[in-house]
Amino acid sequence: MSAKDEKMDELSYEDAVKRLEEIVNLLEKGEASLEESLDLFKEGMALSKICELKLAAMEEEISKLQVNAAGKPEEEAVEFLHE
Amino acid sequence: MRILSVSQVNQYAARLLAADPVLSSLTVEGEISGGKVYSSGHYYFTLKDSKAQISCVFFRGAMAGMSLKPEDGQHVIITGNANIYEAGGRFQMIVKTMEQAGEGLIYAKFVELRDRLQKQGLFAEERKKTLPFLPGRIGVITSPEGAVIRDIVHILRRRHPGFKLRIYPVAVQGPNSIPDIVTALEMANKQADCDVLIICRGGGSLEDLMSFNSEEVAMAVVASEIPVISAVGHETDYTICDFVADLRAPTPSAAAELVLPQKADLYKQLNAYQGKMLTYLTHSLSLARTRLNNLRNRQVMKQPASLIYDKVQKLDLLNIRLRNHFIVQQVNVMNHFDKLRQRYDLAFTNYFQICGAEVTSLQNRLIAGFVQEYKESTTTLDKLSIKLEAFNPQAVIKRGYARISLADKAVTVSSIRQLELDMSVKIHLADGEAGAKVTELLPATAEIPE
Repeated sequence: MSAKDEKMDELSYEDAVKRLEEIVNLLEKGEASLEESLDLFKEGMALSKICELKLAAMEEEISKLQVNAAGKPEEEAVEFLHE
Repeated sequence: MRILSVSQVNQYAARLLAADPVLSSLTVEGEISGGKVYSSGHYYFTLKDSKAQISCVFFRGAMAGMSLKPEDGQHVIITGNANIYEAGGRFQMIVKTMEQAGEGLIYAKFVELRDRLQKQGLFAEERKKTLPFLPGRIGVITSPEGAVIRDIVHILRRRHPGFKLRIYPVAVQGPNSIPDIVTALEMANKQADCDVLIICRGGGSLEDLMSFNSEEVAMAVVASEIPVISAVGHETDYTICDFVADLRAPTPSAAAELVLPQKADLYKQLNAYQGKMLTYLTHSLSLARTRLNNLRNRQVMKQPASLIYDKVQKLDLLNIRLRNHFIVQQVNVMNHFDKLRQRYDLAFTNYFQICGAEVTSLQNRLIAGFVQEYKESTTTLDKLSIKLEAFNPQAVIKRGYARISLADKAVTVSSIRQLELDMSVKIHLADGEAGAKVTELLPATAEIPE
């Protein structure tokens, strides 16, 4: 993966989606040159895939968390202290 | 000497007693004996100490408010006033209030200590330590036998299974009680592995609870680093121990209920929190997902080509505009041109007319000149052609001569140098042509001028 991709992986979910939003707005405004638009689009697609992966991972994590939430039974301890 | 009647003597004595400041407001301590309630509801008894006794009467009205049930042998403190029962000539006491002596004495001591400790600020709220929400181990200072500890363990077992409890067995009344409690408190603090202590005992008389009103116990409780819950006696009993403790529970069972939360409640709360966390988490996750999907469905991402369409359209527009521009230009030029032409035409026609006139005049003159010229030239032409005719090879040929040309007919042969042996030539005669070959070349003796 190019350096840019590695950097992209370290992005937090929020940053990734924020950048994706930026790109979409830029493309919609249409001010970017054709080449720039193409690059932006490619970056957008990569970001969108990363976000998807992160979301899926989180969803899986949650379902795992749900499973082992059951408590454990306790025993009693009454001790007598004799002076 | 004046002789008095018996009643006068008794009356005088009665008046003497009533006037006396001490005898008219007495507080007397002693033991009840021979108590008897008459049908009238009044209570007659004698109060005695080891050496003397006084007969007393406790009228029904005064007795009504009292909780204590007087019995023979009880050690009591009574307040009231002394007087003479004139009819009987008996010295007696009219009782206003009665309370148990021991109790009274103890009570007095209790009040004295309470006020003193209060003044020292030992009851102040700020001093009270907060109780641990979930104590790891509970220390209970009470009598090992009896219902109290059983109730406590039972309640805890019901409310919070898995509790840890240590009993510090003490005498809850009697001579050993105070030292037991003080030592228990000290030991608990030394071990310091209890998170809360409960000092408690069942109901009892003021005397029974005496050790919990002692200064020693009070100071031991004050000194305890570990928070102390005091649950001494019945709900209505208040002991110094209650005042100095970090929390007063009305009864030992109440203490058990206060010390540990209901485990079921905790689990319910935990589950509620888990549920809430889950809902919030899934909610924010779904928000994130929708946001992402929205972005992905945005035109530019779903159909990137649209970007190109956009550009293509722009291009077309530009082309159109270009062409229009061009057409417009053309039109302009045309118009311009037309205008020019019109102006030109106009000018031209004017000019033309002018020139026309000139031209026609020139033409006329030209024609005239031309005609003239023509005439002259025709005459000279005639002359020339006549002369020319003379030179006309055809005429010469007519007169019997021939034109020789090369095979291709174009070049007329004027010198034998143009010829070579065996070369085919053409002979042109007036009435036709003949083909011939050069058999012989004989240069002429005289040079023919080129």
